[in-house]
Amino acid sequence: MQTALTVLVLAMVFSSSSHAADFAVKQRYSGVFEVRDFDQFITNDDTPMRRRTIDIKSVEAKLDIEINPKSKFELELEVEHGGAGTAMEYEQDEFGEFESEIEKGGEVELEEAYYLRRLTESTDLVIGLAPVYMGFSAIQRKPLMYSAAHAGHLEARMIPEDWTEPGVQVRQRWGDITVRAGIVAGLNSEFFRTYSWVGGGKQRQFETMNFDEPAMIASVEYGNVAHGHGMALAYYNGGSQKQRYKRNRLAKQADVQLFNAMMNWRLWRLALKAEAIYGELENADEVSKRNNNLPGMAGAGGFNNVGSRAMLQSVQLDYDVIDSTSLFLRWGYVNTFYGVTGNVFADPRYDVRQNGWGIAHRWDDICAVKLEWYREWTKLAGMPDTTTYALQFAFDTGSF
Amino acid sequence: MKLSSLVLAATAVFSLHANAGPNASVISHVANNVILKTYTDLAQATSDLHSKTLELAAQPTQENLDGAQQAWRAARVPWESSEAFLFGPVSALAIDPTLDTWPLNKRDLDAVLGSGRSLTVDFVRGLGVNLQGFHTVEYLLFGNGETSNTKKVSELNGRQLEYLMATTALLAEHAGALAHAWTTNADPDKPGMPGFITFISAPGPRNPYYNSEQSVLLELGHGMIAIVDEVGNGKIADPFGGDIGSANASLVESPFSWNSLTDFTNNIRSALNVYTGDYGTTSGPGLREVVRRSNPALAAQIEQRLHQAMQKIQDIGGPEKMDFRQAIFNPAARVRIEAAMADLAELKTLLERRMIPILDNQD
Repeated sequence: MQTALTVLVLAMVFSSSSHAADFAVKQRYSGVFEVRDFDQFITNDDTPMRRRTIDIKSVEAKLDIEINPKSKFELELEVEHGGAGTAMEYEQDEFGEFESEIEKGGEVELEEAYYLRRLTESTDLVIGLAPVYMGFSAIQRKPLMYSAAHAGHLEARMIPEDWTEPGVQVRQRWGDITVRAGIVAGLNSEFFRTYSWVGGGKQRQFETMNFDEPAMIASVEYGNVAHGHGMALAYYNGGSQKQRYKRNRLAKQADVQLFNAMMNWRLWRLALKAEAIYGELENADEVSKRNNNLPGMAGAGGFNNVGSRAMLQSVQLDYDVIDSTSLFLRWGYVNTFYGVTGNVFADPRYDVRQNGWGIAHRWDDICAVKLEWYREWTKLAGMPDTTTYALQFAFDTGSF
Repeated sequence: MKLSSLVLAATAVFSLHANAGPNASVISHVANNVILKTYTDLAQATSDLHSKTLELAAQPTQENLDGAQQAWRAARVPWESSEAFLFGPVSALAIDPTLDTWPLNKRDLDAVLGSGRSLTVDFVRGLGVNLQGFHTVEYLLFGNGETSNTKKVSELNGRQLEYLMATTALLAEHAGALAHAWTTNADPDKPGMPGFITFISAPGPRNPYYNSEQSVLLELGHGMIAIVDEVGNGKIADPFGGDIGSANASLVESPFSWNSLTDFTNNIRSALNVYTGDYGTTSGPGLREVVRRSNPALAAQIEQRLHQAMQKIQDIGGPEKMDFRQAIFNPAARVRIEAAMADLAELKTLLERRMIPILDNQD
């Protein structure tokens, strides 16, 4: 926490003296404050408790340092939950299960830190910690880029949310088409969990990340999906076996493959945002078995079972009532036990549908208020539906 | 040959140091005659439970169901009597959750039983720990515990029996692994490593876990405090709720067999065993001897308070002999529960403020 704040302060001091260094420095600040009202269950008790939370979900500072016409450095720091500094958080999710999550360095995270080199007019080389082009939460990284309470509501049940990885990426533009490819740090299968499939595998538990099995990422984008006029296909392929800290516990390959199709298109007052993610995990039954008895921080707490295939689909339709206000409807589905192998049980609890609606109103170019309601239900017999309201204030000072 | 030489060498190195300390006999006795004995008893009792479920599956009679229920209660005794020393392999090898996760996830268990999957040991091993262990076995053997803790054998179906056989086999396997980790090899990832008993009973500068007798004594002392705290402030306080309207039976441990008060009593007994060094037919020394050297009156007071706490827990049932899941909804019993919680809180404070400083002062 202290280290991160020091970096932030230094960065701001650096930006204020940018003229002396002849660097053009742009600053951008964004954040989300939220009140949430939701159902929570205790295991084996079907009567939900209605709970309400208030949360400074995130405050982010981003610097864009133009070193020269050919290169720049981008740095983004995020303080989550008001910088509470907790090293461990305890969650009881809406299904009455619980998980404990240990955050590296409390709740302050270096979200992005990369050097961008313009190799040609249309080719960029990115070195460092940069977004992985996979899912809306990774590409719509600022809250005014989307009208709902989350950019990709169910993505965190399947893949890393707001996904960034260290590595090297290349971007090539041909007119409206952008092709990306890169080599990044792979996922660690020790942290694959029933409730987030391969999502927990993003390495953030220790000071260094294992790079024994780099992952390959690639995407093709037409237009600009993040800003509402584009469509894209993305692919991820990486091993997760050798990424484990206790490598000897898993003797079989555990490659992860993800396929993602996204569309975000605005026409007159209507906007359609949709995506599908399909994923495969090699030897998922062996991963489940070997994660069953991991000690200490890596302990799965009973959430070691993972499917061999997972599927997510979502559609959102927006209508701008007036220029500053839009209504939206959305439908979502995720099943992280879409396929199973060996002794793994396809738990219907994780076959989830989530539908809702909401309204987003922009006060000005910087601030917005969002109100969203959604209902969620699972295929587990007898499990009651849950409903959630989220009221958000979101701000974002600019774009670059 | 190589492995045994390593074990002998490690034992010799550690032993040289342990014998030099004034508390060596306490540590050795508690480690060997309380902790290790409890774990070997647990391994035997869970193995017996598995045998009884095999008999039940082969011949589903009421007599065999009663026998399996008795075996379950018998196996609970060493497990609950081990909770004052939840350190070492039980924690490092993540064995605790595989044995005793609660609450069990009934809804998911129903989904598994309703599926077409073959309920083998390997299949159940892959399920979440809240679908394994003592409380899953308890639910299948005793029923839902809402109005009764007895079950007719006619209520058991083939799938439940299949699941029982698999999950009790796993329970015995995990308990056996725990005993093995103490006696023979503390970490399966390091085959040359000796059993944990070697480390805890021979503290010294070259010991990777315990560099002094003081560190072992504090581990034992804090283990006692942890279980007193968990019983009073977790196992009892959570289901008890803020008032009778917020009492929650789904949070009660061992709610199906109505064995909760016996469990809690054995939890405090585990602290008593470490303190006195008494276990079964074996007598001390335990931490009491360490305290007694500094303050004989305090040594007696702590022992008396441990017995008193056990009695207060037993008193919760009252003249009706109700178990904890009924008691939290009974106004008179709630008064007794509050008395037990207050007593446990006082005991915890006594251990923290009076016993720990004495242990901390040992060389």
